[in-house]
Amino acid sequence: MSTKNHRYAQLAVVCCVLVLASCSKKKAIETVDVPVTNSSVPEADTPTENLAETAEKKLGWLATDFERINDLETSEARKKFRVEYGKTFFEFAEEFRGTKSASEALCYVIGLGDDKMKTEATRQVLSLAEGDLDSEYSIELLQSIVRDGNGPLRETAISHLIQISSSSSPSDASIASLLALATVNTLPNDVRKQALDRWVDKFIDHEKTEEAIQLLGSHQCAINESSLKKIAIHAEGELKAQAVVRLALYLNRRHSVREFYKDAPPFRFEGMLDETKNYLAAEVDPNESSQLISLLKSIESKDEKLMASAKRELFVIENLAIGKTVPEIEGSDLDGEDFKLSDYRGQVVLVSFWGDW
Amino acid sequence: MYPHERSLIQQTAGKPFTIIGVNTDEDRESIREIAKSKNLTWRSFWDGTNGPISKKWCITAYPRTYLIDTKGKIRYKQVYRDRLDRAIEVLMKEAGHQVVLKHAETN
Repeated sequence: MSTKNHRYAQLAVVCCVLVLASCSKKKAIETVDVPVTNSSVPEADTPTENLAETAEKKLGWLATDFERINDLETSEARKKFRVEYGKTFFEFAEEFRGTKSASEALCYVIGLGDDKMKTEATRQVLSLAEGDLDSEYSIELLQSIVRDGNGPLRETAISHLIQISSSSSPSDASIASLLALATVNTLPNDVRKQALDRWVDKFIDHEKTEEAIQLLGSHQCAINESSLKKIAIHAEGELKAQAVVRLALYLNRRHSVREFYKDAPPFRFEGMLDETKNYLAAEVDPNESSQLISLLKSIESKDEKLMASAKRELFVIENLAIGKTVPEIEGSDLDGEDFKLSDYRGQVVLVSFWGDW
Repeated sequence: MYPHERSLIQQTAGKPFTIIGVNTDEDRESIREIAKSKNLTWRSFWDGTNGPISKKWCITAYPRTYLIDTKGKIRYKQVYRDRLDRAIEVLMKEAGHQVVLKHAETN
């Protein structure tokens, strides 16, 4: 939701905004309450505009305040906070009914509220989206339902997305739908896979592929991994470079995550989907690293940071994999005395990166 | 990590095992004092925050471990706690040293 992107910028001005918000809201109500004597003056727009602005500011503030959830330590406390905040967002949506901020708040409720509130919010968001299924904004609304909702209303939202995405003449809405179907992690795998295949087949050059790469790269699961690989192989130019580097980072991270779970106590696996467990336990394709090396060596980009990142990942794969001779480290110790890692050949050495924080 | 690492050094005394740290703290002087006061007797490269070694090795999260055998080959990565103990035992055995590590203290 766009609120998320705005709220950091808004944080800095929250204090003055609060004062302004209360003023403009008061003004809006007064204008509505006091009968307009001269009916020819077109004032109707002003209150609506003020209401929308007030709503946007207040929602920004609420969304920022919601981040207090990160300070809570127990999952119980976080759960309670989420439900409470679901109620807050729901009340907000009632108060500012009809504004864009109200629909955004309802989308938050879908992810936060108790079952009753969640269903009600889903119902309202779905009907808003159904009012104009060709707009990109409606696709955003449907995406919220598909991501956080449940039950038959969610099924309806999914079928809307599928229908819009399979339109024969691509529009902004159909492309956004396809992207949503391809990248929302909670969707059934067959739906995602179909959408991703269509994306790679038809829209691989589209500017939104960049967004797809970021979304796929941010969550570890089998389908994201295979899709990233597919994009990395089939894309061209700058997009290919981005996809390949993202893939390298992704696989590198996958390695760490898997190693971590080898050590993890049983409670870490509680409530984990079988699919995730299988993903963590899956064997790695023995050709994977040589394939990745040739991809990393093949890319070209004007983005120097990206190329530097590619070079570092290449170093990790070629020199820091199990079975490789450890790269030399030369430097000085805490007393300032120079030494080398290879001074310790003949011993078993634990190289440990550490800091005293 | 410290209690475990200290106990590894104690339990392998006189045998060919060592820890080489790569320290990523900002200030060398203060970390030197801390290492002394906490009895961290093994050697560390001082790399500083976001230093050249961490950068080259793409280290973005801590702690990070690599276990190297006597020939200089990387044999295990990201091992901690019990698995680290077992991994060290395996490599020490390959080098002809029977070691049984007890994991007394937890992190």
